[in-house]
Amino acid sequence: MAVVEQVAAPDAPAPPPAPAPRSLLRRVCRDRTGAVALGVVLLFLLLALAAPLIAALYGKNPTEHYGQNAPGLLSDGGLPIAPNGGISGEFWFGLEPGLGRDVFTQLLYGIRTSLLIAFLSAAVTTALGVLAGVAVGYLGGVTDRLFGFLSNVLLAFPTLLLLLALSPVIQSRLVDPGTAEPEWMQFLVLVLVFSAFGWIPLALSLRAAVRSLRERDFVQSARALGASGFHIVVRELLPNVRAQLLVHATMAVPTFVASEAVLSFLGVGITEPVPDWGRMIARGSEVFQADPTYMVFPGVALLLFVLAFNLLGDAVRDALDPRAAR
Amino acid sequence: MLSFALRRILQALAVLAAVSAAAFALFYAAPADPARAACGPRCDTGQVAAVRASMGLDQPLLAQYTDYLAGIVAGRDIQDVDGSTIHCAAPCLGYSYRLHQPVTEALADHLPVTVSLAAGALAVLVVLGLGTGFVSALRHGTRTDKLLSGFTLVGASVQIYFLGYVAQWGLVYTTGLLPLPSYTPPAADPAAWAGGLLLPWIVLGFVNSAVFARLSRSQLLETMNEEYVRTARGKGLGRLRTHLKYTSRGAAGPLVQLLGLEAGALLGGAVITETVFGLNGVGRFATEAVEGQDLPAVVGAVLLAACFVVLFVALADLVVAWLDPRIRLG
Amino acid sequence: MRWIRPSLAVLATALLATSCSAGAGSGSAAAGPGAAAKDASPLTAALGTEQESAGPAPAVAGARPGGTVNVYNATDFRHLDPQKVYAGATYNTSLLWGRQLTQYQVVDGKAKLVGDLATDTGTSTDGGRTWTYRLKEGVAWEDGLPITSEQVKYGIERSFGKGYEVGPPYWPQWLTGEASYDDARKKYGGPQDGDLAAIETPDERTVVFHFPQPQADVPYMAAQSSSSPVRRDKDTGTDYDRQPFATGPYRIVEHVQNTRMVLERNPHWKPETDPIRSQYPEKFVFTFGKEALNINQEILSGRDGGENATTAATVLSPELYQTVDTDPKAKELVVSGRQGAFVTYLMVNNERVADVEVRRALNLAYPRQQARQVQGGTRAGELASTLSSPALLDWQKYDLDPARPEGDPDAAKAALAKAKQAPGPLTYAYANTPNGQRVAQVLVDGFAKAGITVVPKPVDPKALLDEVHRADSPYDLWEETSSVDWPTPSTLIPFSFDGRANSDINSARYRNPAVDQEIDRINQIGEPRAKAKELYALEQTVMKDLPVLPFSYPTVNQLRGSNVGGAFIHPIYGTVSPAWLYLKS
Repeated sequence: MAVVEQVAAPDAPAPPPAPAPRSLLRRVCRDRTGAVALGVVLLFLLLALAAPLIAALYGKNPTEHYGQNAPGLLSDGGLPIAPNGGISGEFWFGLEPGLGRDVFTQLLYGIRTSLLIAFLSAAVTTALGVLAGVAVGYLGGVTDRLFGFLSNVLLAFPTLLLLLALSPVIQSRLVDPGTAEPEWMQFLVLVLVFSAFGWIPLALSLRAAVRSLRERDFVQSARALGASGFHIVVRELLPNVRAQLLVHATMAVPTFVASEAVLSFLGVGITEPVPDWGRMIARGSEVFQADPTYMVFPGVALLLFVLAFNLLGDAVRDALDPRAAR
Repeated sequence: MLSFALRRILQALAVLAAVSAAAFALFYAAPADPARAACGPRCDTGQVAAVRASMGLDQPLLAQYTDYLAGIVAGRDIQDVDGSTIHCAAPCLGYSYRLHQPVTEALADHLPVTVSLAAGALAVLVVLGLGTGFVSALRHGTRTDKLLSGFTLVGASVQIYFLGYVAQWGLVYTTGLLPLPSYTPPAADPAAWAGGLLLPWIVLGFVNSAVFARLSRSQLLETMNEEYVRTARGKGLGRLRTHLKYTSRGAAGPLVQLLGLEAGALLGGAVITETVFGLNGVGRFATEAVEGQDLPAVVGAVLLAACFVVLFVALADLVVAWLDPRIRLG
Repeated sequence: MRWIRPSLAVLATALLATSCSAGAGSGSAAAGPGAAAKDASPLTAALGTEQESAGPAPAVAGARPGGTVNVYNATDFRHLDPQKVYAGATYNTSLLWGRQLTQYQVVDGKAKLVGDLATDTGTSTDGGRTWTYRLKEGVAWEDGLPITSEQVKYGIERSFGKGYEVGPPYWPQWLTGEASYDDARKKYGGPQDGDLAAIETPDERTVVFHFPQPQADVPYMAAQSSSSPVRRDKDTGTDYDRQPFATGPYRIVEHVQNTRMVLERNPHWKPETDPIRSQYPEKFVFTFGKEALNINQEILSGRDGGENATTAATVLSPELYQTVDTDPKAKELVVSGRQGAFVTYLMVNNERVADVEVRRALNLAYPRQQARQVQGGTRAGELASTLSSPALLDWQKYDLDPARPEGDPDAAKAALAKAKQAPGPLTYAYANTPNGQRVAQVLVDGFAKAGITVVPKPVDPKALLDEVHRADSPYDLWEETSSVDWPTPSTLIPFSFDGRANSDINSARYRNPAVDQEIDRINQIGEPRAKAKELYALEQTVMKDLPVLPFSYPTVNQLRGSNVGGAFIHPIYGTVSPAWLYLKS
């Protein structure tokens, strides 16, 4: 799924079948950039998983208003009194202007928000994309034409505008006015809106791949041997598009991370008190002049995170398809 | 070529019709009461009913849709909250009860900003994307290639709202190197127009150039290895000349298609860029319409954006077909 | 009735297009936040005489004619049709092109109500049931035709019509004698119902209002935008909302909605007829649709026209408070003052939180200082303890339930122990904006310390008031910023705390029959100061029940370019007033 202002590249031609996982890992790591990217991604994953542990060791949590509860940390206007956004031995990355929460733990827990939404969305879109792409590619004919038309229609929609317009509507439909919205509901809404459009690119590229595979000898011979359609799809076609799936899923995660941040930045994403990078950047852009430090942390973290995932995606693609590395 | 063009145009029209139907259904079906939202909190039930009738919400969805389409083709009369009748000229995209203005008019007021922004950003994108792609391909495998690839990947990964703010503070507010981002009609003062949009162009162009650069690099590499290019090189044509003469043309197809997609998307309104730089274009108009629950305006903006995408993608297809006759048959 | 909007003033991107505001007293640029409370000047004393109502306006020291003033507003005005305008910022800006029967003359930050089109603030006979205004000679439209009494009448007749419910309800209510606006419009539905008998125009220059009940506040209502004349031949209906026909010193020559508006001098405006406005700049060019952050940066940097710019609606982002306070050159460009007669409250639904001891506990635990800190600190406003604004006539400070500004969890727990039963979780509805989310976090955190669970519920900002005012609204707490319509307490208690009023007006759902009886008695008082005195006494009776928790008297901070002179926060309308501006060079 692409955010309107950053159009995704059309998918490359179908790569050959994926090698076994272990050899893939070895191939990715052979490339130095790929190894570093993998390392960074794993580090982020580890940080996300170990967030409560790290926070406990560090002695802070992401929700307490330290700056408001203790005097001398924030000015009358809510900005950190200490230089560089209030960075100190106690608050490693400083304090959030206004509420005075700890930036380090906010960032740490923010990874969880981003990753949870991105992984869920990537999983849903990959599943949908596989289903649609393989089915359509295998069936061909009218289904294929209909699908082509449908995807043209969906791709013509301005995604970001739709997300902006639909998120509040879906939210208000799902939640009673009297009850507070549970956190999982916000996540669900975002995963839903991302999934609604995110599956199309994968389906399109799978359709093309399956269409060409269908005519290949091994599929033809399976069919001649009397294999059922189900058998052909599961046993013959799916294994052959695994590589594409892998590349798509790796590339989808950073896209969803970025999209989620954009929505939060524009104020329709995750709400307080769930830590969120997009919202941190939005707040950072407000206070940038008085407290530039606050925007730097989530901005750079997001850049690193997305960059690492993109590099990893590249490395995976290269490992699967040596031609592309030329 | 002609039959291909006709087929492509018909297809585009069909897509547009479907997009409009989907947008219509989605937005008019979604909220509890679009008429109340349009009328405002203090309208009495009679007025809400009048607005509902005027918006055609008392009719079946299909009839509403055909009325809407008819309005796009021939224009129609619409009743405002105070009972006055306003003629909404074709192409009528509905009437904004929030602005008391036909949506088409309101969009037309904001379009010049978006067109200016998109045009400049596309120029930056093409120059930057082709340039880095070209150099990377020529020197592929070298350190320059790696460096440039890294550069474009950063562009693909950086968030435009982060980069936009950082660049704005660094280049405009603290150092004063660039003028304040703003829009001046080009007819009034071309220098101020270009100056005010320079930073938005660069930022938006750079962020979007990454995909273009990577695609142009791989396209060039692919065609460079093709037979006729090798032959040309074998004949003693210089490397650069070979590129310009043969490679580029062969590689142009997918690039043109990507460019079409980018152009369409940008013209639909760069919501974030316009927000970051405070430009009052279609994107900001649309976000304000969303915030103001102004359904006709939201649908209008969505349709306009979709139109641009469909139009430019079709246009790109036509250009590609003209460049490469093989495609017309496919 | 007071007209209300959520606390937009404290949003970074807020424009002050909220509500009709009112207020007297200081709030001048020099006074700064916090200083204003001490000198509430009585406004009745400032009802101008006939001499004071004659033009020209007192000269602004140092002003010079010429030049173009740029006005940057984040959004366009919602309405320009004088009978639809009901927002302080628009009232204020429309002084440039629109004139009313009366208007506030402001000298050194002090407002005085004087005759504008009329020769004085009006004369009443018949115990306040009849009010007579006489138009000045030489007042004219932008095409040179004279303004007549019939056009004033036509303007007021329009405010009864369909589509005009966005404006104030007072003329229809008073002229028909109906307590309800809807009933009033059933009696007379606007110009298409023919002539409104309650307004007489015996000659070209005389307007006589006949009210079924005594009305003491007519001079103030005559200053509202609704009391502007409209010419039948120029009444373009919906289009009049975009480009009204001018009577003031400027006329609108171009207005592209949400984009730009250009004003030029009106050659038929005569300074000797106008005691309020001046005509220094050549032109005003309004630009709409810039982000608040960019507007503030442009004016602060003074580049590309920023030195000649100001804003008529967009406030200084709280995030820039520290920046301007530490840079003397930037600080000079900040124009501050009290936001008219606005007060921000933490509203309580008294039907749902019926126990006064629970409300007292909330008041004691209320982390007011922290809530203000996330909105910019002392520059954002002064903490409040009263229902009424210090800007009102003869206002006196009181504090019946003193509470610590940072909240006192222990005292709150003690109060809670006296309650009949401990409250369950309370739902706090808030406008889903970044600022709203932050304030919600502060409240949840602060009340939790006193053992009160508050569940925050984000609501679409545009829908918040509808949601909380609905009769069956499920919310217990929410924040609301509202103002009386003019600087007397007449539109506060008698509307918002009248137990017989519906939840749209009495949104706290406060019911006290004794208070209702008092309201009826006080409404019969015709003398404004005596009435005000009684109303203040009644306000304290109401506050003994703590129906709502006062939060702050908000301050407005706006920017003006270094070359712009004459900028101050209008003490009544609560924004920078363009009608007094000039360019220094």
